[in-house]
Amino acid sequence: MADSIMAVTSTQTAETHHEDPALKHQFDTPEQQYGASMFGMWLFLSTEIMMFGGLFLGYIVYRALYPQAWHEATLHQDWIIGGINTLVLITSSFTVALSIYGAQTNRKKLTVWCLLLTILLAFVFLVNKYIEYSAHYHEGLLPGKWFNTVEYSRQTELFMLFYFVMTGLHGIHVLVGILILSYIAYKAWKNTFHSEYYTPLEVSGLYWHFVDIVWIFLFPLLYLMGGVSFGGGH
Amino acid sequence: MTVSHDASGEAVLEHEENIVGHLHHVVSWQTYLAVYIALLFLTVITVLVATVHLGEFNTIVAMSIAVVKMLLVLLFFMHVRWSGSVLRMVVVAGFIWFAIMVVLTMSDYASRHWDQGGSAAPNVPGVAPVVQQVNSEQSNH
Repeated sequence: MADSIMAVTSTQTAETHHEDPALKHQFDTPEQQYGASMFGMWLFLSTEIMMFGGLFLGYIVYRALYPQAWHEATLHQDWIIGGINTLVLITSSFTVALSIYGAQTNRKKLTVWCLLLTILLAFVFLVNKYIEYSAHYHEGLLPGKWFNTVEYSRQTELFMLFYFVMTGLHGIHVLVGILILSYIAYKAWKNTFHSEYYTPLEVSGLYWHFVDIVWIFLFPLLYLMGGVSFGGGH
Repeated sequence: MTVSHDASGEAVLEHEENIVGHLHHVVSWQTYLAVYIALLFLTVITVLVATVHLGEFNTIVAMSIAVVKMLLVLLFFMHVRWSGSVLRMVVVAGFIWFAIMVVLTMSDYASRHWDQGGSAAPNVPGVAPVVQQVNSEQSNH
């Protein structure tokens, strides 16, 4: 009884493999393969939550210990550049979502152009980050031997340490995202994706949206906590 | 769903849809656009609220807006709204574990006996007065 069922299943699998070149041999159906990819990606994103979570926890603890210093240190941030970068990342999330829509509706040009636009926006984000980092360096806000201990308190240095580690780790994620999306854009250009198969595109999109979500929290925590004024970004 | 199967194949398909969600669920570009505009709007709101001094309420509002923005991205851009039970469990588990980490750590910090002066924070970052107290007790013996 069991043997006959096994035999039937294996013939089905062999047939399916002939039909669908995107289906890897260890999976029975495209649905199963898709489910495994999505489950694996979400597990990875959970570990990412915990990695950034450790930094967010450190931020919360020291904000509770030094509320005044945290308040003042936020005033050294340029909220205009931070705000522009927020809009840039949100826009890039939108374009990634549209690129998946393009694959689902077999619009290759839409997919490729949206991915290229996303990569461009990611570079804009990193350029803005570079402008910010160099400004901090020249103002003596880079922790360590570069830090201006005469003008700023040690607690401000601690805040800046969190700032650089959190935005730095996030920036590395943006950099990795550029590499992943470039590869995906190349695959899309080579007609790899269509309405029946676009899992790598969707999984990469999940990664990019996660990077966006991290920034959605970093922006208010690192730029807005001290309040902002329209008299100037500084 | 364009993939056709025989009776046993369909049974597998339905089962897996319940776990990870629908394969090839197409979300319209109008939905994406609406979510995008909402995210832009909330970003402007969060900056505008920061210009008003509301004390600790500023933090609460800023974090609430950030959570709403996160939910919009999760549910619509990341398709959690249309995903199955197993994927939702993984998503929720990630945030629950983070919440456990924060709550346990902060309950320690909030209930810790810092120093005799009763100030909420030590003067030197990274050096807790509790450690200094233990050292002085040891030297007395």
